Amino acid sequence: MAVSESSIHKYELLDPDVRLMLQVRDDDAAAFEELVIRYQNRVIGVLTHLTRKREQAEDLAQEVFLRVFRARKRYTPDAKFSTWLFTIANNVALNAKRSLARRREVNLRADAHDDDGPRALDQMALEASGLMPTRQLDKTERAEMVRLAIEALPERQRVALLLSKFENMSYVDIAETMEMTVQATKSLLSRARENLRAILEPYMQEGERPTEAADS
Amino acid sequence: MSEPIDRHDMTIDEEFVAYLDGELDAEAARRFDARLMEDAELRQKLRQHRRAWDLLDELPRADVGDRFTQTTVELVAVSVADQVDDASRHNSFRAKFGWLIGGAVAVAASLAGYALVASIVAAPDRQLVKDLRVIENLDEYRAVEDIEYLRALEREGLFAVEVVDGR
Repeated sequence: MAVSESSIHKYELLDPDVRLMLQVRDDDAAAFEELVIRYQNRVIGVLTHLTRKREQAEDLAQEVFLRVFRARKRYTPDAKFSTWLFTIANNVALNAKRSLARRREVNLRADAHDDDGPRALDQMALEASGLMPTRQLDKTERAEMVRLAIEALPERQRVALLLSKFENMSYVDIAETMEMTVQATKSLLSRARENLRAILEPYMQEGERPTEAADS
Repeated sequence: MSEPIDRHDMTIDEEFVAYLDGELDAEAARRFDARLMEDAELRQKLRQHRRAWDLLDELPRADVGDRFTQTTVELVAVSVADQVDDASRHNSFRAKFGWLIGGAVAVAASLAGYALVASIVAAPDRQLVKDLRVIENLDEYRAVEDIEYLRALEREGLFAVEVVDGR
């Protein structure tokens, strides 16, 4: 898709990270370091939810930044910098997953479902916590429950949801990052949010573990 | 930047989520507000969605700090250094062994030239080999002096054994 000069100029003007990346394009190492500092936690955060492994997420994040640097000479600011960066991150995560699948080390639970619906949270919650007594969830447990709920979502729903929530991306930006249409993005996010609500609602109602909610 | 969302293409659920995400235009959002005022079930669903959305804030955020920055910058620096090394090794190889490659090409060209000349020079020998049988029997041919007579003898089978032997 052709990008107009005015569009490029707009991103350069409005997005300070685009300006930093243009400095990186001119081999400015300090600008690159600044971009790493600005985005490292955000990239690792998203990748952690995609890979479910923090250590792997850090390795992949480094791969992402390495690709950014290697691609610097071809960089043109035809989108927000974060959109471009998370497109790379998404591709790196997908490649890693394919590579794992080829080595038959992929997490079978992740492959056991498709994009049509979430995995059973009840089962995952039991795996994570064992049989818990009936009581209110504390903050740590709530975080764990939400993590499990996120992991229960099919992968593409999870990516779209994370980009929307934590990157504040518009539908257009998510569509660009995930290389899909805006209409498909709307549909994906709609299913993602509805699935999330359906998974978490029993626990939000009573603040109880899934098994307790199911029994009550 | 934001592409206008065509509300007519949306399902009710998509419109609902677009409303939550602030992706409806002002007029569509106002219409949705009006629906919310009239529909208690829709308001309940809206609250559930917002609670679920807010719960995502409970997720721990990554905070890797300077260590990650440093190792990442080092990784990139090493990668760049490797690329430079590869390029210089390539150039260095050409500088060191360029004369050897040139020499090898010159020797190969010389050999090819020699073979060509030798083949041209050897052409008379090839003709001699081709005419060898005639030369060997030259005395007999001279004695007969009539090629038609020889052909008649061949048709009679006089040379049959020789031909078989010759095979």
